[in-house]
Amino acid sequence: MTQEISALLDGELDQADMDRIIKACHQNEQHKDAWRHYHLIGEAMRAERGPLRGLEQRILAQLQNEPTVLAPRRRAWVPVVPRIALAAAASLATVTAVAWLAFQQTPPPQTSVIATAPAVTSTPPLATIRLDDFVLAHREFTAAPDALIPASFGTNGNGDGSR
Amino acid sequence: MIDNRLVVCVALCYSAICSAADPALDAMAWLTRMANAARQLNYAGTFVYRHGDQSETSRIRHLIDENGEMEKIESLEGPVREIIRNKDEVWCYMPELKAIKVDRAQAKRFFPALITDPAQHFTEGYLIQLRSKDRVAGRDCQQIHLEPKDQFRYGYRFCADIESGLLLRANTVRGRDEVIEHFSFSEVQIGQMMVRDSLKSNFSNENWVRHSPPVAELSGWMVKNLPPGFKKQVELRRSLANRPDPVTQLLYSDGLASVSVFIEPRKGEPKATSRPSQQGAVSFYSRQMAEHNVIVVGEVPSIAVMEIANSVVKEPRP
Repeated sequence: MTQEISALLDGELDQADMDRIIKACHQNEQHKDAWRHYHLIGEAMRAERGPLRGLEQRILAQLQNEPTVLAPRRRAWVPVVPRIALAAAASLATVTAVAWLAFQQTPPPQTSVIATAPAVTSTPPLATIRLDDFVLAHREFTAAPDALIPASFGTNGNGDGSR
Repeated sequence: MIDNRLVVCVALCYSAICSAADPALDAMAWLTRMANAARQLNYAGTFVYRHGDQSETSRIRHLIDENGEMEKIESLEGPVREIIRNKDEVWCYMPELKAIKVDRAQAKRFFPALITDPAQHFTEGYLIQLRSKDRVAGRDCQQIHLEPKDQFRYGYRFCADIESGLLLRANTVRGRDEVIEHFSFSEVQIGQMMVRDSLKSNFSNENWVRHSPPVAELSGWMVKNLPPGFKKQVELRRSLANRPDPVTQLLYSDGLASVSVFIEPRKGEPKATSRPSQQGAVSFYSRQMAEHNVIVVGEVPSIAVMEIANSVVKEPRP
């Protein structure tokens, strides 16, 4: 259902599906929450300015809780990628923040960073494939000016934190 | 003797006049001129990058002197970002995170230097044509269209400054005229004097966290059936923020479109095969092999990411 709500917000559903989802969102508290959540993410992704700390945390929580799963869908050419994946790739501000926060799951290289970074505990299920990380890692090599972001912040010497 | 000199002079003058004003300079020559102008001229300007419903404005200053090329790109919207490119080294400053990322520019292209390969290379995948003149950022420009010859790539439409050859606008086009990616100068000055110091970073990066590039490493993975014109640019082993294991990244490009193939060890039960998906200019496809996941991402049509993913094999090491 949440994928369908995401698809609705991305304008990917036809009229009949739209009516059905909107009705469902009205009737079910959980779906209503998902609807609000996706809107919140959309707004956060578009909010290029201003303090985003709290939102970043919520976006990250959302990313953690709802990994992008590539699974067959009812309609062949409707992408499963929630808006966060590419909205993220396209927005330097938020992506950097999200990638940075995600990085904080691993031991950060400097204590000054720990102090400002919210703690993140959950990890995504192993069997799922989250596209956003791959999109970021790919776009480092494209001409997009937003793409030089730290997608490879991680362990094993890539984000080595050395000076 | 005099006759000879006269002939040479006339020939030179003629060719100079022709190359300055001749609309018949063919499309290939324009591509070469575009590639050279982006590297060999000083220029400073503001450009917009649009991708899906997102847009970003950046300022660029590019200079060439006896020490080589240097470039500074600054974000004008959102958080402050500074990219300084000194020949092949790229420094990305993220001041509010007190972080700096250092990378090599080997496979990275920046607007307006989108074309770096020899023009001849593009004839494999594209039909290259000169079109009408247009105007961008108050300057007259020549349109050059690269129409895809197959279904494995999108079209590209360039407009290059008539006077200098500098690329002023670049559109990635799906189908007949759906623009899915767009770069355009809103204002630009070309050929002015510039001093190297003015391109230095505004920040001292003292005590900043510094992140180094991922390491190049041959994995033995390869793509058997690449679309025509695509070549491997880099092969890396890297850690991604949310992945449990390091992944292998193979980057392929036809000089304009690029595709990354990621391979990671598979954990957990296999899932049903996915369908390709896409958003904006980027397509994705993932496939499961016996012990690995293959994820393909690129600014190409869905069919291309699928074809590439389906022909990923591991070469037995000699």
